[in-house]
Amino acid sequence: MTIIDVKNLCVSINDKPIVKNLSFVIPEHQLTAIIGPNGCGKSTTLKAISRILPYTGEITFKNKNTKSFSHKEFARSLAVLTQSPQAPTDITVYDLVEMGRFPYRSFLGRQTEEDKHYVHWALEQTGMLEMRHRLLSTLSGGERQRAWIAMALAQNPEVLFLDEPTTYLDICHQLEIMQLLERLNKELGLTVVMVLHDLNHTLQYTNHVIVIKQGELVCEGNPKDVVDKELLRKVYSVLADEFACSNGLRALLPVDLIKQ
Amino acid sequence: MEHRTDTTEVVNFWGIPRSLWRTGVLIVFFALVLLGFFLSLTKGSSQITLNQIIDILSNPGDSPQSQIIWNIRMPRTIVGALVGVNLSLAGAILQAVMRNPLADPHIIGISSGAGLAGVAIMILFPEMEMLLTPVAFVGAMSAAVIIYILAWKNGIKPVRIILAGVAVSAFLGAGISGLMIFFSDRVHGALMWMVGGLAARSWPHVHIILPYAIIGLLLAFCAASYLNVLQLGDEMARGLGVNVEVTRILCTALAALLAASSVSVVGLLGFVGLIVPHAARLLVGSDYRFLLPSAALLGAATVTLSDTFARVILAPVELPVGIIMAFLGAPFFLFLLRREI
Repeated sequence: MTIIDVKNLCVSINDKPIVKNLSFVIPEHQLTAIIGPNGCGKSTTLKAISRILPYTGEITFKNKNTKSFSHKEFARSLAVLTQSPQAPTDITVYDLVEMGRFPYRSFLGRQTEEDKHYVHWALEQTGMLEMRHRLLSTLSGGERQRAWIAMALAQNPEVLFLDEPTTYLDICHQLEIMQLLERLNKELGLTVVMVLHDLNHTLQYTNHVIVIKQGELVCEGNPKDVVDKELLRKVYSVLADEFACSNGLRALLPVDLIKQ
Repeated sequence: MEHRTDTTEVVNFWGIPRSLWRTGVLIVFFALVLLGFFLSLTKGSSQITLNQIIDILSNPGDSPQSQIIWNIRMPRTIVGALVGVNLSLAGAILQAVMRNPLADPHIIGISSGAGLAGVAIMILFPEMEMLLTPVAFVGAMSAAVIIYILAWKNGIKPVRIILAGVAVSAFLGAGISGLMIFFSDRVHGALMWMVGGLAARSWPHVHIILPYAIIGLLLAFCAASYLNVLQLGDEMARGLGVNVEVTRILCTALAALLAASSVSVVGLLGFVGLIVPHAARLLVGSDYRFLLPSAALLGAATVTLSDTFARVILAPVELPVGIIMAFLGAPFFLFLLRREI
C-alpha cells in the first residue's frame, strides 16, 4: 500500500534546481530510508514532502493532494523532525512534547484530557516519562533526540519524517534511536521515513529505500536488493567490501575511493 | 537558572518548584504595580497620604487634593501603566517573531516609523491630531514591513534584522530631525515627544490608549502558544501546522499596534520593550503563557515607578521618564550584549 505518492517533484533554492523531476512512492506501515551523497537533495526532498519548502509537482497523501490539506490538518497526519532543531534553553521535556499537540488546538484552545493522554503516551513510548520534568538542555544527545521524537509522536501522526536522526550520536545511542523507530513501526504501524547517512542502518532497519544522486532518482526498492557494493561504486564512487552479519543481513565497509 | 533533578518538577536555584516560583513572581510583579500606583499618587509637589487617597477615591470632592488626584496624578499613572504594558508586550512579541533577544520596538525602528508619522502630523497638520494614533500605527507597520523586507534573504537572520532596523531607524530619525529643523517654530511639543514623557498626560490620553491596550492584551494572550512554537524555529513550526509567514505578519502587526498606541501618547519612550521582557524572561523563563502576563505587569510597574522617580528626583524640575528609562536601559542593553551574544 502506498501512503505518499511523489510525482515529478522539482525544488529550487535560490533559483538553483536542487531536486529534479523526482518520482517515487512511500509504502504504508514501512520504514523507508532516503539515501545519497551530501548535497544530493535528500533533506530538500523530505522538506518538500512535509510542506516546509515550496515545490512543483504533485504529492499525494492517501490519494489526496497534500496542498489541499490545511496547515494543522497536515500536521495531524505527518510529523517531521528536522536536523538539530532548536528550543529555548529552559524548556522542559513535558512542555516540548506538549507542543506536539499544537495542531489539535483551536485558536483559543486549552489543554484537553485527550492532549494530556497523548503527551503521556508519547513520553511512555519513547521512555521519557521519568525524565519529563527535566530541562531539555540538560539531557544527553540520545535523550534529547528521544524527547523530540516524543514531541512528533504527540502529534499522533500516520507518518513520521526524520532528517538524519542519528547524527552526532555515539553508536550505542544510534542503535537505541533506530530500535525505537523500528519498535514504533512494528507496534503502532507508524510509517517512518528518514534521511540516513549510514548505509548499514539502511540495510539493518529499513525495508524500503530511495536512492538520490544530484537531485535525481537512482533507484528505489528493498535495500536488501538495492544497497550493495555496486550502488556504492555508482552513487558514492567508493569501493566497498561486503560482509555477512550474524543476523543474516549484509554489511558494507568502504575501503577505498575510486579515482576518476 | 534551573538545576537538574530527575523525576520531580524543575526547581530553581533555591529549590523552589517552577510552577510555585512562577506564581510567586506574578504576585510580586502585581504588588510592584500596586506600589507604583501608590507612590505615583502620593509623591510629588503636594504630598498626599494613603488615607487621603482612599477618601478621595471613595468620595471625590472639590478639595485641591482631590483635583490633583483625579485630574493630574490618576490619569498620568494610568497612562504610564498602560504604556508600560503595551511596550513590554510589543517587545516580548517581537523577540519571538524576529527570533532575536535584542528586538524591541525602539531599537528595530518600529517606534521611529510611528515617531516620524507622529511628528509629521504634529508639525505639518496640527489640526488633525485625533488621527495621531492611526497614522502612527501606519508608520510603525510600514517601518516593520520595510525592515522585514530588507532583512529577508532565504529566511530571517537575527543579525540582519537588527542591522536593517538600525539603518531604517537612522533614516527615519533623519526625517524627524529634518522636519524639526525646517519647522523649528512649531517644535516645542515635538521635542518633549522625542524623549518620551508623561508630563501633562490626562484622561483624553487614557481614552486614546485604553482600547489598544485591551485589544492588544487579549490578542497577545491568544498568540502565546503560537509564539512558543515559533521559538522552535521556522521549519519545526511549519511542521507543527503553523502558517509561519502569516503568523509573523499578524504578530508584527500586533506589536506595531501596541508600540504605535504608546508612541502616539507618550512619544518615543525607549528601552521599556527591551528591558522588561528580558527581566521577566530571566525570572519566569521563555514560556510565553507566563512570560506575557509577567512582562505586562512588570512593564506597568517599571514605567509608573520610573515616572514617579523622574518627577521627584530633581523636584521641582520634572525629568521626562524617557531619560530615566535610557539611564536604566543603556547599561542593561550592554549587560545583555555580554551575556547572550
